[in-house]
This record gives sequence, structure tokens and C-alpha cells, in this order.
Amino acid sequence: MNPLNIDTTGLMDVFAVEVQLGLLGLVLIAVDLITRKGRHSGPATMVRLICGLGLIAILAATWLADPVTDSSWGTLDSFAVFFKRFFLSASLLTLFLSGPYEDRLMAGRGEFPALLVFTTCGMCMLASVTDFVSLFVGLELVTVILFLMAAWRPRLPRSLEAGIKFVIIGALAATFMVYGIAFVYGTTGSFDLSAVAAAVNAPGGPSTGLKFGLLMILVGLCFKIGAVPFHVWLPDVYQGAPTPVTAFLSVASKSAGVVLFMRLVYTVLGPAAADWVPVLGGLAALTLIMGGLGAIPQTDLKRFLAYSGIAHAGFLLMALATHSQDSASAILFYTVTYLFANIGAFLVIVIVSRTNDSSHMDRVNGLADRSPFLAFVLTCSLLSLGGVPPFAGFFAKFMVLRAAVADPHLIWLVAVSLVMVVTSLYYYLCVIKRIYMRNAEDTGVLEVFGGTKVLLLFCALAVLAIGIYPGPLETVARNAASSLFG
Amino acid sequence: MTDILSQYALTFLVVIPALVTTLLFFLPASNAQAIRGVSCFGAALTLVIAGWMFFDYDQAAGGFQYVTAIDWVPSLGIQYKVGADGISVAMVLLTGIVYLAGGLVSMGVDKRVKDFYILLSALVTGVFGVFVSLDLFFFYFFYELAVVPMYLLIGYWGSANREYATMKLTLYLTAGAVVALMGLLMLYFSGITAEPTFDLTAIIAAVDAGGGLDFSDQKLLFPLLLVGFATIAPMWPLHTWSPGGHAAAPSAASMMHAGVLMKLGSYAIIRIALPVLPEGAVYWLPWVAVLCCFNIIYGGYIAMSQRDMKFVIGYSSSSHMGYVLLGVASMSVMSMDGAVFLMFAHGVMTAMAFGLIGFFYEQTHTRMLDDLGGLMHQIPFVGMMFMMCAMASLGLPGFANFASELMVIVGSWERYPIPTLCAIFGLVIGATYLLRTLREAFQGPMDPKWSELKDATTPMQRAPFLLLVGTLLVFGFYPLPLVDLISTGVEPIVAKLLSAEAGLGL
Repeated sequence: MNPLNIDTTGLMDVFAVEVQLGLLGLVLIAVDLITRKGRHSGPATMVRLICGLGLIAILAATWLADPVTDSSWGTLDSFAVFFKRFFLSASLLTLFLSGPYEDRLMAGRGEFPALLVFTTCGMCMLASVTDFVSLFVGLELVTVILFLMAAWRPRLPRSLEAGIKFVIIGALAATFMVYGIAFVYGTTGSFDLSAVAAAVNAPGGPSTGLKFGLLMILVGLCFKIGAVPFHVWLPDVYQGAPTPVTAFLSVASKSAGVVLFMRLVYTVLGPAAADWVPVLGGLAALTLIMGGLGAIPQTDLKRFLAYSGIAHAGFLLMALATHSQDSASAILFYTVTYLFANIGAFLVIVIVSRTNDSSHMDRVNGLADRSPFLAFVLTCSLLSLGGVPPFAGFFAKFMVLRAAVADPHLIWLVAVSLVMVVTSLYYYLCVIKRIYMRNAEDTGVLEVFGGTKVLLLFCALAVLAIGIYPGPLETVARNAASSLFG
Repeated sequence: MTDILSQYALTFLVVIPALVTTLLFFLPASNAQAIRGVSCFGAALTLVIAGWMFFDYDQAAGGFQYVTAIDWVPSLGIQYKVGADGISVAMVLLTGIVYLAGGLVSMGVDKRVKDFYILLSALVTGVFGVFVSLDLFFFYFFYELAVVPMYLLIGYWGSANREYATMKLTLYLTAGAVVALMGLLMLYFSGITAEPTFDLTAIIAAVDAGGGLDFSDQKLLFPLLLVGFATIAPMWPLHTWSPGGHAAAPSAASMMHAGVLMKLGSYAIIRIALPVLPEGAVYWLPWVAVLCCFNIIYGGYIAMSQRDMKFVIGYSSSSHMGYVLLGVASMSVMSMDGAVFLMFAHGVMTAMAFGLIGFFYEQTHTRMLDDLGGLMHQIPFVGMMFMMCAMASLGLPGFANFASELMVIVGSWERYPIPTLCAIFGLVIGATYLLRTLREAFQGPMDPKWSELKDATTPMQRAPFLLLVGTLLVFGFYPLPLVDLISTGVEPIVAKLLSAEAGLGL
């Protein structure tokens, strides 16, 4: 039965979610082929419905699976499970989010859910990886599909431009990554994360080649989370890509980078992470400043959220630089709050840009008059991103700061981040100013339909509820993070 | 009933405005009457509870009463913990009075009534929360909650130059807040308590038991808290957000802001910075005594040169806050009692001044002294009230402001004679600009174009002003109950400062 004599113990247990997602994707393609009429795609209602139900079923099944930590294929610790659930939820929310956007797509309506499922599959795989080979495979699975999704509207030049820029920078980052992996393999003779961790923390310290390799890998990962020096693609790609894809990029793709970053910093570097504080801290400070200052002059909502996303990546890097258990749970908490706030904001953008397909900031002018409900949701999302109580983003920033202040070496970084918190409040308030204090050019009342309204309300209430009573989510994040520290 | 009240009184104070906020979301925006009714009912309810606490607080026992503690995020040492000492009760009473008066004054708001009251009650939730929190996390949480709604209140319902003023205000106060946050987090990790905790009472207990920080650490930490909180106090030179913000704000917002929010700064210094870092306080407070002279003299002179009435009152507020800071810096029971009493009296007085200016501004659409004049002929009730307000502000005996300023001056003389002389001279400056404002706006011949102005005639229009002026007069003639109440909170703090000073031998 096993001609290659490969030990497959635990393979199906660790990657059960991925297998389910792969099958779901294939089913979706088949359903699309069967239900499609003629050359142009009609509404992909059936495909979307199956996709949604499938994702919910897979998400629910994650509660039934037992943890697996002794397989050589990967790990299914509570940290991996947390992120698998996170990616599945993000994918589900993106699927809902793409509903109101679908009528702007000429073709490929049915393939969209399938690609979403495949890229989610790659992300879930990244949550479980324990060696550099599957890490790279998972990463490319995610990235290559995202290239496609970014260019999803081929008749729109800016969408194509987004896809091409994404490919070029992505390829560059991937070469850094492969180069780094090669060095790591060359110096340690192993792709296994724990073997590399042992080499890194061996007495006498890691060799220069190993350090160089790890540095290259970290730099390559900066591409995924949108941190300096690979942040330049974000604004262009976010602006050009179809809005649901942008939303997915901003929450799920970024978090995929976060997963790997956390595995590398907390597991591979481990105690040696203290030596990397200047690197991670420096990148964090630069990213915070770059994102914060870049967001100020923006006039396009999606570009604006791209820079705001860079600033948030800076915050996450700051937590990584802290490399304590507290900071790990802070990162998990942060990604969840960021998910709800961002999905809420992007959904509002999908709705306000419906009439002329523009995401210029003018589109939210006077939104409070056109739709008080949308204005409320967008305000909640932006204030949560800005870290204002009683919204969830406040507690997320608080946790990161609390973890960072514990390390006396990082006081300078905390000071930088606090300056950037005030700066970020400025640019979020500038958007809120448009919502409440400007007159709308387009005075038509904005309709929000049933399902969309429920999703918007869900996002707004989620940021409020988590912000007021963060305890339960904090416990979940803490438990998930604890498995990183064995 | 009383049991429940005494156990959860402070929680009610926080929850009632929060409930009002929530309830308003579900009322249709077109039903302005119901929205106003719900808001003012909520405000009246908080005032009743605050008034009940004023009489119920056990002065003989002192300390923090009505304490409720619920674990919120146990792994981080965060609890929802509220409690009130004499200082908190006085501030809560002030908030209740100004909230109700502000709610009543805002009956005239006719644009987006629903949003207005939602933001106002969210802001008040934050203010009550700060005054009753005994947990540093929640203290900060409520502090930020009180600051941010102001952005929209001023930005949308405000007057001239509002967008600039409101952005400046929000950013200044948030910048101050994050500096304080850094201080609070460093305090949290400083190892005063065995397990890091945000519980203020536990930290103070540990400090009292001799576990305070080293003098060198206190010297470093105290300025963070001082600068952070003094931004909203506002201490010179961090005051520049305040007059512009107050001037641009709609009536109720400037009443809440100048009347109550500004007091959060000095309250936070008294509540957190002084008892936790007494030696740092002893080291740094002389600098506060110097800076507050700038508040008093510089603020007063700037007020004198203003032509916009709201700017006059705005700068006069930063001038008066100088007295509060002087009272705090002087570290005597008398001066600090006076400082807290002045926070109360000034809050009521300045809320009334902004309410009155707002009342006629809605009709005149100008507050420039050059355009006004002789308004007393046309709107005698408002004029009369403004006169009482000006008299209170310049320190006429019979108003609470006189009693409190006198206490600050007498209490500060021994330690800081020169700043006290500045403070006394500040009274003369205050009298100058207030009397001049009164004369130019309300006395002399009236411009015929104002002959259409309507006075406050209905009981509902008059009620907020009568409530405010009544408070000033009652506590002006009979300040003892309030001063005794405040004293129960101030005495232990002053005792700590004095023993820290004796220990340092400075």
C-alpha cells in the first residue's frame, strides 16, 4: 500500500482541514461547470451557497478534531487550530462580503469561491507547518492564487496592474525566502523547524550563515504582512484589486504572514530572539512610521486602509520584537479584532462605491445623511482600528503595549508607537470628519440589503462586544499562544 | 432598596448614561421629543444618585465606599472596580449637576438630535467612569471614552473654526493620555505589588506598607503622569487646545468640557500620581507651582484681550485652573481642599457661563463684544444670570468660588508666597476682564437689531441656570458639608505627601 515507504502517521490528522478544503474547492468547480449557462457567467448563487455551507461545516469540524503534536508532517497544536479557525472565518466573511460585489464581475463568478477556498487551504497549511519545505509550498499556494484574485477584473487596467505588481514584488520576496531557506539548510542540514531551533540555540550561538539565512527568511515574510522593506506593493495592490480581494488580503493574507512570523520568532529563535530585538524592533519602528505618515495624504479609501494596514503590521512587529508569551497572545487578539474592523470597513466601501466603482474618499462624504447605519458601522470600524475605547482595537493595542512595556529595552519603541497611535487617530478622524461633517455629492439614499446588513451589524457589534468585555477572547488567545511555548 | 443602592450606586452612575446611549439607538431619529426626554430623565436620575451619595457618604469612616469589584480580565490583573471617597463624591455631584443642566440647555439643538444625545451620554459615561474607577485600566478606558465623542460633538454641532479646534483638542488630549498610559503601564510593571495589578487600592496599600518605588524611579515616573494628565487640566503651556475647543463647541459640549472634563486632569493627579508616587510628587510639585503662575497671570491677560465672549471664558478657565494646580502643589489640607472645592465651584460656574452665552448666541449668531451691548434691556433673565456668574467667577463672597479660592490662597501662602501673590493679583485681572465683558455685552445702550431677542421665560429654559446658580449660592453660603466631605478624601493624601517630604528631608 505504501510503495515509497513514507511514514504517513498523523498526516491526515494534521491536514484534515486542508484536505476538506481541497475537496470543497473541487466540488465548487464541478458545480460551477454544471450550473453555468452559456459563455457569460450568471449569478453564482449555488456555488456561493455550497461554499458557505462547506466552510461552516469545516469550521465546525475543527472543534471535533484532537490535537496532534507528534507527527513529522506538521503540528495541530492549539495555536494552529486557532489560526485555522481564523482563516476559515476570514474566508467565510470574505465570501459574504463578495456578495454585493458580484454584479461588477463580468466573468469568473463561480471560480471566485473556489479560488478563495484553495488559498484558504494554503493558509491553513501554513498554520501547521513544522518544516521549511511545506512552509514554502504553503506560502506559494497562498500567494499564487492571490495573484490571480488581485487581477480578477481583467478589463479593469488598475486590477491588472495590481496583479502584475503583486507578482513582481511577490516573486522578489519569494527569492529572498528561498535563498534564506537554502542558507539555513546549508548550515544546519535540516529543514525541520525544531532542528533549526536547536542549531540557533546551540552553545556558542548560531553561525553567520544561519543568521543570514534566517534574516533573509524574515525579510521575505515582511512581504506577507506588509512591513518595511516590502510594504510598497500594498497601496497599489489594495487599490487596484477588487474590494473583496483587498479585504481578504488585508486580514487573511497578512495573518498568514503573522503565523509564520510567530512560528519563526517564538519556536525557531526561541530564547535567541533576544538577539533579534534590534532587527525586529527597528523594522517595527520603520513600519509604524512609514504606515502612519503614508496614510495621512491618501484620498482613496482602499489605499488609505493599505497604509493603515502597514501601520498595524508595525504594531504586530513590535509585539514580535517583545517575544514574550504575553506578546504572543496579544498578537492573536490583535488579528481577531483587526479582522472584524477591517471586514466592516471594506464592506461599507463595497456598498458606497457601487454606483461608480470608485473608492475615492469623497464616496463617504455625508454618509451620515445617506445612511446613518453605514456611517455608524464605518465609524466603529475606524475607531477600533484607531484604538479608541470602547472598541476592540483599543484592548488589542493595550495588550501589545502592555507586553512591550514589560521589556525595558523596548521603551524607545513603545514611545515611537504611542506617537504613531496619536498620528493614526488623526487620519482615522479625517475620514470620520468626511462621514459626519461634509455634504454628500451623491445624495441618493444607500440601500443595504438583508444579509449584508446582518453582516455589517455583526462586525460592528463584534468590535463593541470584544472591546467592552475582552476577557473570553483574551483567554482563547492566551491558551492558543501557550502551545507555542510548550 | 438602599442596600442595592449603596452597593451598586457607582455602577448605576456609569451604566445609566451607557443605557441612555444604547436606548437612543433604538429610538427613531424623528422623535426628538422622546430622545430629549430619555436623555434628561437619565441625567436627572444620575443627579439623584449623586445627591443621595452626597448625604449618605459616611464621613466618619472615610476612605473608599460603595466599592464594587468584578474580575474583568483576571490574567492581566484587570478588574472592574469602582469606589468613591470624598473627592470622588464631590466630582460625581458636579458631573450630575452639569449633565442635567447640559441636557436641558440642549433642548434647542435641532440638527441630528439623536446623534447629539448619543454622543453626549457616551461622553458622560466616560466622565462618571473616570471619577469612580479604582482600576487603572478602566480609569484609562473611561478617560479616552470621555475624550473622543467630543470630536464629533464639536465638529458637527460647533461654531466657527470648529474643525481645526476639535482636531487640535482631540489630538492634544489623546497625546496627553498616551503619555499617561506609558506612565501607568510602567507603574503596573514597577513591582510595587507582587503580581502586576491595575488595582489602584492594592497599589496604594502596597505603597503605604513601605513598598513604594525608589526615589529615583519616582522622579522619572511622576513627570509622565503629571504631563499626561496636566494636558487636560490644562497646565500652561499645554493649555492651547482648551480655549479654542471650548469656543467652538456647542453649549452642552462646552459645559461638559470646561465644567467637568478639564477637572479629570487634576483629579487624576490627585487620585493616582500623588498617593502612588509621593516622593516624586514632592520633588516635582514646586515646578507645578511655578507653571501655574503662568496659567493664572498669562491666561488672565490673554482673556483680557479677547473679543469673543467664549474665548474670554475659555482663557479665564485656564486661568482658574491655575488656582487648582496651585492648591494641589501646596500640599496642605486647606489648599488641596480648596483646590477640589474650586474644581467643583468652577465647574458649575463655567458651565453656567457657557450655557448662557450659548443661549443668546443661538439667536444673535455672534459672540463678539463689539457687536453686542445693552442686552440686559432685552433679555434681563439671561443678563442677570450672567452677572451672577461673573460675580461668582471674580470671587464675590457668597458664591462657592470665593470660598474655594480663599482656601487655596490661605492654604498656599505658607509654602509658596510668591505664586500666592500671583494668584491674588490674578483675582484683580479676573475682575477686570469679567466686569468689562459684563459691561460691554449687557450694559450700555442696546443696538436696535437685538430688539427681537427672546429671553429665557419658560421654566424649562430657566431651570438649568437656576440649578447652577442655586448650587453656587448654597455652597457659597454654607460650604462646610462639601468641604468636610472633600477633606475626608484629601487628608490621607496630604498626610502621605508630608511624610514623604519628611522622609526625603528636602
